[in-house]
Amino acid sequence: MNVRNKQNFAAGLFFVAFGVFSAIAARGYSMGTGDDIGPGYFPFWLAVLLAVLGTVLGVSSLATRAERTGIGKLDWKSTLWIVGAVVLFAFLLQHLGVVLSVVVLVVVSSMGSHEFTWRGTAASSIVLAVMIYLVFVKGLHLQFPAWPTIFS
Amino acid sequence: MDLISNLSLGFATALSLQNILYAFIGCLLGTLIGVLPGIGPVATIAMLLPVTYGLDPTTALIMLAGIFYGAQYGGSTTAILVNLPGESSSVVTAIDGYQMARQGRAGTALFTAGFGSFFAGCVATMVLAAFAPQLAQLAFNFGPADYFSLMVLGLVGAIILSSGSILKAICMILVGLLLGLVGTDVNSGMMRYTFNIPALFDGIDFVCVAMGLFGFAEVITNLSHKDKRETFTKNVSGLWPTWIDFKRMMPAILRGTTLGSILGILPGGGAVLSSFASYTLEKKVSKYSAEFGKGAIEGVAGPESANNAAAQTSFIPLLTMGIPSNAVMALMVGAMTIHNIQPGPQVMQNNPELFWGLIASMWVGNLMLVILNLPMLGVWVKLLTIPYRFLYPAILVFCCIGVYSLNSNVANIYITAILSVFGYVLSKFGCEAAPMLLGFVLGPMMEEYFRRALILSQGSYSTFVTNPISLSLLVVTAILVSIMAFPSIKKKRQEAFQEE
Repeated sequence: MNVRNKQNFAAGLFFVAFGVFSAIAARGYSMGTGDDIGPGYFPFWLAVLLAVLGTVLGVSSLATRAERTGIGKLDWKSTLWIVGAVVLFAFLLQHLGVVLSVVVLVVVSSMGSHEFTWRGTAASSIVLAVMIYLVFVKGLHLQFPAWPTIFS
Repeated sequence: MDLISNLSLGFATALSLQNILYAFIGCLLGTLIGVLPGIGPVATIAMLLPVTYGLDPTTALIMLAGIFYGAQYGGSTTAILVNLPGESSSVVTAIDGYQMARQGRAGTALFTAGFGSFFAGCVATMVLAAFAPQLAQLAFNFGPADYFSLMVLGLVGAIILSSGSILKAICMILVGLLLGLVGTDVNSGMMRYTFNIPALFDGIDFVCVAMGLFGFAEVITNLSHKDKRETFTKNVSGLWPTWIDFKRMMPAILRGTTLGSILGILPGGGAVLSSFASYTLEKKVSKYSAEFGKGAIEGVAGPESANNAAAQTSFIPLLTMGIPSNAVMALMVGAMTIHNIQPGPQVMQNNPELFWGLIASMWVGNLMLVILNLPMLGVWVKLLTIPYRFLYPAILVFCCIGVYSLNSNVANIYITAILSVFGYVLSKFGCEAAPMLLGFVLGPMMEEYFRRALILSQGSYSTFVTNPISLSLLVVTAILVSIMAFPSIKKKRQEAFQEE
């Protein structure tokens, strides 16, 4: 099988999977009646439509006159550094407080750049941590754990 | 005259000290993020939404709107000096603006962009003030079936006028609609798609969706590009255009303003499409068409006027019908709901100070932007020298804090992180995020109107076609879809978006 339009093929697969999954889940909710539709009605038909259109998209990508596209390489390294830094921030926030967590977030996410330097990163993490503390904790009084729980 | 008393109420609101201050903050932030490539108005407005909880709703909307049209101004600076669109609506400005900069005419190009934007902004605001009340009157006659059909038309229009594959965009809308239904169903109390995860019981907050798709996912995308850029930051002088320049730019500005004002009202029209359309038009009608791509002043004047005009008039569908026509307007719906204001025709009656204050603030804001942009150009140019490796961690920090402070729950950060991977992978498949965000915002509303329409008609689906307003909206939708199916038009559309 020769997939000419790889982008559309992959997208079609995704939409079909998403549609089928959502439709099956929606079967668990009541469909209701015509004059009073239940919670399952709208999502079920949306999901069915998505699966159908996803199939059309996927099949048409196989056509011999389909436009040729390739999927650009996924940059897993950058993705991992960024998403990892964000997840780590969320995890640490409750324990370390916002000031230290911001430092961790800046340092870890900066490592994802190909121009990473320790000196620049240290400076920017301190500037941002101070700014966040002054603006959000002192200025706007948002409800944050500011410091590690053992200190407060 | 109603208009005059309304506008004086508007100006009284917009010119209060607090509102002037926040309009200024909005314009300043808008210019800032407009100048900086890699962060757009959608992510910025999403980040700042939680901060506006404590503000008066009018003040909050004035500030957020300022960010949106401010970004149109700032984006052109980057396009002209670095050949990088600071905003997607400045893509075409970069073509001729950058060439002008290379010829040592950066100052003139910047003046043209600033002046064109100002002129267009003022005219488009007038259009908004003149036509919005009439449209709102019309919208009062709409029943649930009409609203449902209007939303279908809005969604279909939004994708037809945007670039990329229509089929994929429709699928993205459906994904968005489905994601919008996650959480407790208001009518039955049934938990849908929550999978026993408490953080999903109230649904996914749309700030998480906007931030994941437009904040984080864009950071990841930008990090994978490693291109060099050449900046003309040293010799920006001679802002004032010559008489000949002036004579050449004026007709382009007028055409751009007209085109942008009209296209902005259409669902999905907005700033990006208008600037593309204006560039194509200028190239067609100009006596100097050979100069296009080599530094034609019309190529800066037209698109810059058009994108700013469209940025203002795209508020019309939102303020009169409650239908967001692009991703930024979808966020405005969110901002209004946060403050318990249901977007729609009743806003003008129930909150006249908000409606007219917002419109008047756009005049004030445009004036501020001219002052901010032209004399303070040097400051913005300096900003361009900040490397991206210092910018993106800051973007992440503000996104994370914004998402967390929605309801002081770290689960929102995890949801945003998951959605960002989702958005990044889908962008690799050539799927755009904007239709998904629109679908997400409209999902629950569409379901509600659909349900109500069927209750009123006692379960008869014919209500959508027997109702004259609903029928005509659906007919327009069908015409749009079938037009798009014609191969020749399909080709034209692709050309329009590849214009360079």
